[in-house]
Amino acid sequence: MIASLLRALRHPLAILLALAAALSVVAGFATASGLWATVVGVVTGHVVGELVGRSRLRLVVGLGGIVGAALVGGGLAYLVGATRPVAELLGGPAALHLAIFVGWSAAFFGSLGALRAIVARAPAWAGLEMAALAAAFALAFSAHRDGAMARPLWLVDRAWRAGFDPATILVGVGGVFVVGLALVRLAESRRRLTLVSIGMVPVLVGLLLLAIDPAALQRPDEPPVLDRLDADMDTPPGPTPAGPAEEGTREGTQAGEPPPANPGDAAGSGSTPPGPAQPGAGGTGAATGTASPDSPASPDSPDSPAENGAGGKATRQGELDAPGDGGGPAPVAVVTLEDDYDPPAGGFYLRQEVWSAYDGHRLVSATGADVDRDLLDHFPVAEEPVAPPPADARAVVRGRVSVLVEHRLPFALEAPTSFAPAANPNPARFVRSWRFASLAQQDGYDTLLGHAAGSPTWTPAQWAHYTKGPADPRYAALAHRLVEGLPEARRDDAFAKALAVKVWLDANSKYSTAARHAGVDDPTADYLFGDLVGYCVHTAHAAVYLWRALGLPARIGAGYHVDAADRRGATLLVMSSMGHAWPELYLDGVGWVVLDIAPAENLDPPGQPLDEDLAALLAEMAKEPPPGETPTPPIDYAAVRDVMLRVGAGALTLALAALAALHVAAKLWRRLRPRWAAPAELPRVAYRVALDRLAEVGVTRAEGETRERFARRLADVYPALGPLTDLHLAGRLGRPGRPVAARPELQAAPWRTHLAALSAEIARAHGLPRRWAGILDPSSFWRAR
Amino acid sequence: MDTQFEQSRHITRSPAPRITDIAGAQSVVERLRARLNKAVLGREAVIDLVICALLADGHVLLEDYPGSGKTTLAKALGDALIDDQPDDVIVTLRRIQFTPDLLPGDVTGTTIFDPNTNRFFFRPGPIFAHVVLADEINRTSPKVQSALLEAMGEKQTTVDNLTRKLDPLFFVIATQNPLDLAGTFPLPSAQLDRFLFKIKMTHISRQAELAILRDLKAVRAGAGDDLPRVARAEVLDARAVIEAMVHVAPAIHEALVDIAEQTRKDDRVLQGVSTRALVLMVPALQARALAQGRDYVSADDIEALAPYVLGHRVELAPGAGSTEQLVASCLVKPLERLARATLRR
Repeated sequence: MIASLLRALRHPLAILLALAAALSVVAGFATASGLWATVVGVVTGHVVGELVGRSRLRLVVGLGGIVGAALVGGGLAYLVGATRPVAELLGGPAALHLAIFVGWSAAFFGSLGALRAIVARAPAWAGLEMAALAAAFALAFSAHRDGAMARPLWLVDRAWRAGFDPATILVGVGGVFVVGLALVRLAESRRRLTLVSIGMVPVLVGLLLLAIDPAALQRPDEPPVLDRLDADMDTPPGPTPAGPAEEGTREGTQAGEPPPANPGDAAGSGSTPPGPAQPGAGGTGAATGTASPDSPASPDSPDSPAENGAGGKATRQGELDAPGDGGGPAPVAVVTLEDDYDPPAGGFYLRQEVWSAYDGHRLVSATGADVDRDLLDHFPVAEEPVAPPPADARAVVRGRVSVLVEHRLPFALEAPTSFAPAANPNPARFVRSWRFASLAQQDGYDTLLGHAAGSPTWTPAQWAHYTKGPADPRYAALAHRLVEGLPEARRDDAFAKALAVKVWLDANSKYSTAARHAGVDDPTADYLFGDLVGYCVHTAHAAVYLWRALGLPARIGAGYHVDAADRRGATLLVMSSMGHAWPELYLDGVGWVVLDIAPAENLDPPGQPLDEDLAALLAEMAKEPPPGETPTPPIDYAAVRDVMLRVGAGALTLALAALAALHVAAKLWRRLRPRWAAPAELPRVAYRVALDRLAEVGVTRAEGETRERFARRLADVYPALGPLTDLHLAGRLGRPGRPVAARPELQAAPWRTHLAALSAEIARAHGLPRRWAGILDPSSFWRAR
Repeated sequence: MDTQFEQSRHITRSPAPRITDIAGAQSVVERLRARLNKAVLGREAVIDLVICALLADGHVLLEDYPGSGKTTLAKALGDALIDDQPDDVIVTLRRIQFTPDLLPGDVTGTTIFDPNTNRFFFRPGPIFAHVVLADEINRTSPKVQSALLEAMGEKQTTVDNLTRKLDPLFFVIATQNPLDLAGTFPLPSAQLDRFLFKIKMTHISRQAELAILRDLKAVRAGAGDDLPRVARAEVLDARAVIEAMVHVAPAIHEALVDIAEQTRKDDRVLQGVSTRALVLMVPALQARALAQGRDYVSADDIEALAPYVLGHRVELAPGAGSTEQLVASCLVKPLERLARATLRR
């Protein structure tokens, strides 16, 4: 039933596919009349080609006719479009439309008609037509590689607007096209449609469904989080952190830097310079598709921040080229503190990663196992402890982080002791949540005096790791000069020495995100021994290099910095502009201490103040559901899709493998069965072997064909089939109950003789490749009837 | 009994050895086939069907144009038989040319008054023969047709309320012209049913026609006359052997019933195949199997005979195409089932 329906629909289906292919080619540039011409050309081409193919005309003549007609059409189009009298007669626009129409339709008529005629005459060339259609179709979409280029525009633009990922749509469209091609091939096949071939179509459809992203399909109902936030908040549309956000975070830390609160003042005074919130929204920067600056392979990250983080800079419009950059900073995370904590540094340092390895150019993330073990290099799946700092002078602070954009790594308040997964309080808003516990610095900086630098338990390698810096002697010279300014009693004190450097940097540096210090071998030297105008990455590097020059173990922490003034109750709203890098110092018995540099002067314009409503709203949303009220289970669509894909692909693979194994076993069984068959079974099982052998090389009995007629049909090529058929029928239709001795069909010897003869005949008639293809085809025996 | 009438040409009084096995029956087929093929060139298929019908105890209706060798065939068949009961009134071959003015008595025979003995005596008609060629059977009136048809069905004839037995071998080859239908009495389907086969003959091949022209003289001179003949008793024995020894598997029976069902449920058919058609078909299948050298009936026999057995037994709706196509389409599914059944356990 299905087969006959398919067969009836094969021409409309084929025309539809040809139309899809042709239109996808011309849709990008053709006018309306061109599109109509394409439709006309494709349909007439298919019909005429089919008729020519079926007619008794010689193929060359038919093809010549079709191509000739197309050429005549082309000539006509030229005449209409390019000659004066016709244009004058019809009027310019009409003549142009006519020329386009005739030209396009002639082109498609000629190409598709010729292909169709060839295929209709010689189905073996069907691959030609399929290849042409598939190539035309693929060509139109080939520009869209990994979403890097938004082509074809007419589809991709609409998809984005509707909230779909165009990649999914393209995969879907391609899949539908492939299934269509397969169906047409099936329908045009003159063989009987076997169950297997029809069954493969649902398998294709299944594979297609697996490839479609359910999350992307779900989105039309759920506008992107930040769009809706913006709509809710009635604020101007902001940049949407699309794309891999880990880059964004990282770029944010390098590019946009708020002049931090002054943590270094030993007195802990509140002389916090107002931090002009720098809109260093790294998120959009990722959309530019620039190379990831994470890798040490791009060592000029610190000196070329604008290139890496340019996307998010609303204040530097001149340098922007990223699409979708329309506004100020966007919220990226909500941190809820569960313990009351007042940072002595005047700000919350949320550390995501640490740069402590000197690569000859700058500081990068360390790869060694014995350093920086107070970080987690993956999101927690259970409570996962990290190396804790010494517990002295520190307070336990627990908290929860809910991020609004995807991050590469978890971050926590500095000096974390453990990470743990947490339920996403609002899956529509947040992409992920986790908990952390930290031993945050509690005592003021004045208590840090008197602690030795580093830890006595460190190995020489660890010492070397944390104290290695550039060989440039100017660092040491400057550092020692600064230390000499200290009172005699403090000159040997580690923290005092560090403080001397910090105070000097605070006083002499100027903050500016415009200063890039790019294109030199040591950008830090360019900054430090130059104009001292730069941003956080520069100041952090300068401080760390100077400290290391003094033999103080130091490193750079990177993450977010939230000013204590921006805390709202227990909530910290982390904006994309809060990305930051800061220097840290190790003191014995204290651990890593953040000693941030606060430049005296800020050359950047002030940023926007915190949006109180937004902070309150997000804080509300980030709250855990009250106990007793069962939270709606969060649906992580990406995870669901992953699981579906993995389970689906695994199950499919397993099922296919099992099916293939079953077939191979059945095939073997059928082949070997005569060896232990009882005499009465021989006519059945031994003849089945003959049919299997023939089916392997594609020779099968037609429906309704008697076995004798089948044998006679093949008598020229396989004469042994005749006696085999006679033996089989004598055994199955002959009079039963006679002695075996009187019935050759029940004896193994004649069967063996004739089967061997058949085997030789098959070997003679078919080449080795064909025979091996048959032997390896596990489903061949389905065709043995 | 007086035997003044034309007598059988080849007679014997010594009975032929009895045939009791397949091989003997096959030799009967071979002898007949050899003689007929020698006498009628290019008609191997029709000859096989005629032999088949003879051994299946059925009758044959040839639908053919004049001059296609029907009479030659019938005469050759009669000539191939040896009359081993030369003393009865039954001869090996008679031919009746049917005309509209023929009377039943002209076929069956009449009772005649003999003035010398003052007594009536029965003068047998032409149906008292082993092989009767009923030429242009549709040209005569229904009552003559029915007189012949009674004889065909019952192997007996009734004249003057006296029923007389015909020979068990009684075999009718009837012919009719498919084109020249003016003034004819087409056989009703009930009477067509009496014929085992209705064979539509086609023109013979070019090679055969050339051979006929070339060998004309030799054939007239009696070429092949020396080939062995078949005694009447041998034919009867062969019939018995075929019925007893050629096996018909249950699957074959099922296929036959399937085919009948197919013809009955087909939309193009007004009246499907009767059960009698199946009953008559079985011996025909057995005979053909024997003629093919087998001792069992196979799908090939069904495929070969179905058009001739079933073609004149289905009545098509107007405009439904030809019976050949219909029978062929009705065979597909049952034969497929049969073929698959042989591979099944």
